[in-house]
Amino acid sequence: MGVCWCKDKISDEEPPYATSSAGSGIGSVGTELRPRIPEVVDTFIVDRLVLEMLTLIASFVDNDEESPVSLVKLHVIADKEDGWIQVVSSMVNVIPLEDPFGPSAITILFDDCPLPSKESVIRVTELFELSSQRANTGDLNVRVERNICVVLGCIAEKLAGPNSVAVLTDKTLDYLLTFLITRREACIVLFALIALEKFAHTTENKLTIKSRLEQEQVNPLLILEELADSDDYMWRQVGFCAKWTLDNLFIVEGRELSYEKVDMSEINVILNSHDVSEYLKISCNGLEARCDSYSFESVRCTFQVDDGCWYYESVIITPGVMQIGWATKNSHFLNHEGYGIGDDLYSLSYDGCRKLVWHKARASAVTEVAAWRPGDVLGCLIDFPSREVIFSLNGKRLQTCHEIFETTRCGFFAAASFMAFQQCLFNFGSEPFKYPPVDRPFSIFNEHGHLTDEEKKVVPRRVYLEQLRCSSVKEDSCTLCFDDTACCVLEPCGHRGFCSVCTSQLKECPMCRAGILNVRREVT
Amino acid sequence: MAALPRRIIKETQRLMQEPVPGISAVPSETNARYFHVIVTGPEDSPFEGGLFKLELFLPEDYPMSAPKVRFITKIYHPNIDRLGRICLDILKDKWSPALQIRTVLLSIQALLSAPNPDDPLANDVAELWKVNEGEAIRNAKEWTRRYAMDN
Repeated sequence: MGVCWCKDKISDEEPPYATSSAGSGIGSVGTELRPRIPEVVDTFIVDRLVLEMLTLIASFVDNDEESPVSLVKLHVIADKEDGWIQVVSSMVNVIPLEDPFGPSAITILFDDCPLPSKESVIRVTELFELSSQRANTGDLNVRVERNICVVLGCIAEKLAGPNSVAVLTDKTLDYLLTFLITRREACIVLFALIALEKFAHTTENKLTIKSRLEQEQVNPLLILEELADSDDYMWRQVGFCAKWTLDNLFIVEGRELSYEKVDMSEINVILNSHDVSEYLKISCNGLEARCDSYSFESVRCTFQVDDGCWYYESVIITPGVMQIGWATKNSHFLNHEGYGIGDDLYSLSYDGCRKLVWHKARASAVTEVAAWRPGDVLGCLIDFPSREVIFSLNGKRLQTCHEIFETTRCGFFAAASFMAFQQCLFNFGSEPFKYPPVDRPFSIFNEHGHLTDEEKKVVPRRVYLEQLRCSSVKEDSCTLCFDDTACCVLEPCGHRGFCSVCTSQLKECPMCRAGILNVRREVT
Repeated sequence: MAALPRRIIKETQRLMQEPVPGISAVPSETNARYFHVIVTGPEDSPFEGGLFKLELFLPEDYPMSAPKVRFITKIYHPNIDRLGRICLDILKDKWSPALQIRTVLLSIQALLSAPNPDDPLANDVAELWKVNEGEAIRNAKEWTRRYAMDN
């Protein structure tokens, strides 16, 4: 998808600062770059590099390109403790509110920089002078406060355990909670909430936050979750996240979990909560999804289409990078490598932020429409007889795609991938379409899909994992997967204890690394 | 999520019930494939007394492919680079599905006891380790004190 170059491009053998000259206009990066960066870099220069990086992320689409020079430079600066603090301060000060890449850019940079010492992290938070007064001040600088909340979330995600507890001081907590209680600016509330969610990955913090929430007359999250259906897309995100944290992290006694009370009677196709990468959040009705992780999260729907003509819509809630379209089960979700829908042979997607149609990890630019905005409706049509996939934005058709049918003819699901802090709402036909195709008859997922009551439950991940942990394993199960019965003997080495599914994937014996000439099945 | 393989559930249960001495590996509450790991620096190594934080992720095709592990705490070691990436054969071409999270973490702990500057990932560190082991060890101790001894 071309935004996670940090991981793709920096191979294990070639650390970023040791790559040979990647001269591309701005300046050359070579092995000798390090000594050239002085101990203290001008704030102005760091600010400029951060802004440059933002523009570059937006234009960076080729997975084979080298890391942008400004990113490499920022890494080198951030490698020193003082430099790290400088880069963080700079991001807080200059990243504009409107830039759809802003918050994701902060996560990307954090993910790829070595983590500084606890002292530096604490120095940074002290630098911000966090307190409830700061959050209550009359002339709030929305941009700076929003960015501080994003940064706190990133720090919390990277630090777990005692360090995370050390950063979440009373003042930090006051600062974040004040935003939740006063509800002044949706974008700050959103990232304050996400930061709290990430701090809560450490159990001690979770208990602290939970008890602070309970001390309020009304738990602020209970008020915020009411916004989950809001037509104001910023507040809607806040509502979504509040609901998710109430179901997964800050459980309120006596509150029914969302999936237990949602009305699913008219909904027959949903996002498949068993066919999704790990960090994607799915709403209790299975139709809305959101990513708050730095990885590239993907999901497929529950309904497969093989012939005829089908159409669904998604409402864009956030203006950033999402790749929405079609994928077969052969398409893998390599969320940590930055690969998602449209990044292989078996999927095709549209990213309306950068205006790119993706297939085989290659992008083709779209000129028919402007970049998508919150509230826009993306239409996705697949027509098997005429071998066409047609995307549309608010009813305006983009160029027809044929290429995917060269390799794949059937087995498609509606599917999407999300960059950090992106969210969208799917309509598989349980609601009337806004821009239904008029030039051809089409079928609607929701009229053909069927789900059992059990399948309609989008159980919170916490509950699901708990259920799994209680399950037991049979005596004669495969020693590799524990899922199937062990029935294969490897020859000539004679090691046994593997099922046929695992054995079929082996090149050598897992026990002794001997080559496998034959597999004998044991009858039990 | 894709249905969690029993293999992961079983390994997690065992890690909780019979933890490896000197190593703690706790799965994330919201992601059963992501582990927060803390390895204590082995005795008689320059890393003694340090607590090193790592992240461990089990990819989709685990155990057919190796877990992804990296140091989050900074460490001065010839086989670990500045981004915390580890040069260890069993994490690459010598991976076997019979290996487990616990064996991987034990190997990493062993790597701390026995740095191998002839197969380096962090070139400048390895270079110093070869030409002036004493100074390299002093650096490693200093980094351990600065970054891995928090409380």
